[in-house]
Amino acid sequence: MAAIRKAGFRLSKIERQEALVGVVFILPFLILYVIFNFLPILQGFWISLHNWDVIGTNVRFVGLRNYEILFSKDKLFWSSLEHTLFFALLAGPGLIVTGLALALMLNQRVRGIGIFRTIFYMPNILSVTVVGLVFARVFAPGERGFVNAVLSSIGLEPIAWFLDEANAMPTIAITKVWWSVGFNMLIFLAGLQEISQSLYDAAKVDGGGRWSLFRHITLPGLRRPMLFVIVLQLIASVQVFPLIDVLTGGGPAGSTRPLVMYLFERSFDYWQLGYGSAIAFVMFVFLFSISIIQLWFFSRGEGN
Amino acid sequence: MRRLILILGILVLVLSLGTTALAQDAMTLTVLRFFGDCVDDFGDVTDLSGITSECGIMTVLTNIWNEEHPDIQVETIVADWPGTTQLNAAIAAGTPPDIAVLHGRRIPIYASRGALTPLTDVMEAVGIDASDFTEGAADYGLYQGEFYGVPFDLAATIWHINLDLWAEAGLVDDMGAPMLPTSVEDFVSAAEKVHAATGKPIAEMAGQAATVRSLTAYIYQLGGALADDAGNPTIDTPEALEALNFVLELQDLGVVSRPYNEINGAIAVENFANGESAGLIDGTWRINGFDRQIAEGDVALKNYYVADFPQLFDNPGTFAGSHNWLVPLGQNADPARVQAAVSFIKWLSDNSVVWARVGHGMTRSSVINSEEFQNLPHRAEYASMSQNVRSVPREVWGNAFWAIVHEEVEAAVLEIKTPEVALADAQARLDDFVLFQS
Repeated sequence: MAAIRKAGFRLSKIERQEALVGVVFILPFLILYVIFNFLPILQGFWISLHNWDVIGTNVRFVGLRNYEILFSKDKLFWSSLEHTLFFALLAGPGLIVTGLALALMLNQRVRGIGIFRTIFYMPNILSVTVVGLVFARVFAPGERGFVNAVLSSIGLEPIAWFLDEANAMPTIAITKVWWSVGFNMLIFLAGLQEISQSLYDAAKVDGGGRWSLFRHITLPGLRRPMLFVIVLQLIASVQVFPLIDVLTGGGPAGSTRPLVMYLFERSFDYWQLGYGSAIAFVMFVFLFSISIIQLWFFSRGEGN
Repeated sequence: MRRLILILGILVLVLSLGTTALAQDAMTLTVLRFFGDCVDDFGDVTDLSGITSECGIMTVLTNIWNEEHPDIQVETIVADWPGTTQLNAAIAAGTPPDIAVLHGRRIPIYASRGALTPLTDVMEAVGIDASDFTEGAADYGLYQGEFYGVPFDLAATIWHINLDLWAEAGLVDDMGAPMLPTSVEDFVSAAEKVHAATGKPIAEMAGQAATVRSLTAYIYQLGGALADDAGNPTIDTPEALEALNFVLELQDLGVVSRPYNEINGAIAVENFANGESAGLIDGTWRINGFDRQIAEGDVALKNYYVADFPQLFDNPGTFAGSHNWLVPLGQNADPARVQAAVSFIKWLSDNSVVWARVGHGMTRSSVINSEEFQNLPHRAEYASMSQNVRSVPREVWGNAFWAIVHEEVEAAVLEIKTPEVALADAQARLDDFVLFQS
């Protein structure tokens, strides 16, 4: 605003009226956003400064004590954060690479391509409970599970997919990729269709190979969808909870407990809503910072 | 003509006032419960014949009450299991239901915060005889000596037995009953015989049945306790270590159950129904399902017997949960409303024998001794369960105890931690919980 004034920029009367109309149009959303999003965030922070039972009893101001315990003593907080980041590391690249690969594969002008696009997107519309129940069967222990039955039929030993701490999180990540990759595929597909065919034609005339076209035209052309997918994926991965709850319940022995599940346990099972709110606020700051860094990183790249 | 209109007008007025007065006299109670929603199937049904599902029985019982008690109508709000999310939200919003159902181990934390109405006096006033509850069952409704919940049933860990496979191992007597082991040596010997004869495990266990439920049962059987005299949790004790080592030994034997990481709850149940295990350690809630499958004839299991959880040490002790009816109207509730609520609870309790069809154990001696209960399938086979059950200590940490101990014992079973470290970690987490509450 100061820069505009400095440049001697002034809105005319009509422009001011138009701006006012714009403000009036977004006001209902703004009011609802403040009431249902912004104020609860502030209230969450206020609760995190208290001992606060989930039913609203036993409220006592404790200042930053919850944060102090969280950072200095709570081993489960750190292990849950570790599990969450591990999950994000496993599922994130899988979702992006597979989504992009599917989009490239389905970005063809051939008869019936719409059917394939629908088929690959379909798992995304299933509820988490359905996905959980199906994959609990697919990766069931012993020889009753579908994958283990296949392994046994070729003479391999069955694997404890969800009941072994080394296998459980990768198996959850595989399930997540199968379930959610359709969404990323759709975003990349839309991005691919925005890239002008003339760029490819020109590059081919100059002797560009397939890899060169992909590297110098497709990938830069997908910068915005890529940013969108990465930010969204990171947020979704850090917030993972229902899928793990249905598949492993955080087990075995807490080895797949993500941060949101830990937050839920402390808040609702242990009644420590104040402590749970502290975890939520730390998560909020973490995600906000990462998202800002990502946006800055990509916008910097765009400028270059 | 005018007079006639006047008289008719007065009549209408009197009648409408009378109706209004009657409507005001009728009280509507809200009941928050889980057990599912099946109004489409049972919404108008008032005949309990042949109904064996939790949801069906509860819906029909409510319908019958409403038909018989026009003065106290009951409105059901169905919550998702375990019912706490909706109940907590309702209490926090200051609009609690008049009645709710909860697992007994959750009662202390609500009662300690003044969210529940004390019931001992009002139970007596409406005619609920507290001495009729079995010793084990009464505990589930108590907190600091006061009833805050009316124990409705006992959902215990029991031993489901495939008699045909036991017979192959020569472990069925002349009366057709299994020869149940009464010591560790007997148990191991029986497991080896069954495995030698059939190649199948004698007592398949998965999930919590193999961890916290077995552990707490053996701690009680060894004479240990889960709380000290001050009410603080004690899990890092010599008895707990002995019990945990025993749980691990049973796993290592390889003839009691399949390895922990090769089985989950659903598959253990399928294995038993398909005749792939000679026994299953699981809950009372499975009984009706197995009986139904046998009657339908689509499973390998044919001759089915239900035994108590094996007592292998000196003292009786079996894990059980218990559904309790409670009044979450707080400490200063309207006495008339509380009395009406407890009248409904008493009526449910008086008719609880119908609930036993699901397989649940009963909490009242008079119901357990009734002909109707005794005539239900298998009930005589595990009759002592109602006396042997032990509740989680009636402390605010009771609910947290369950999840924490399961996780730590699971870590020991999967060899992620040594038994000593697992118990020490469980104790530390429980101590933290207690410290947080103080």
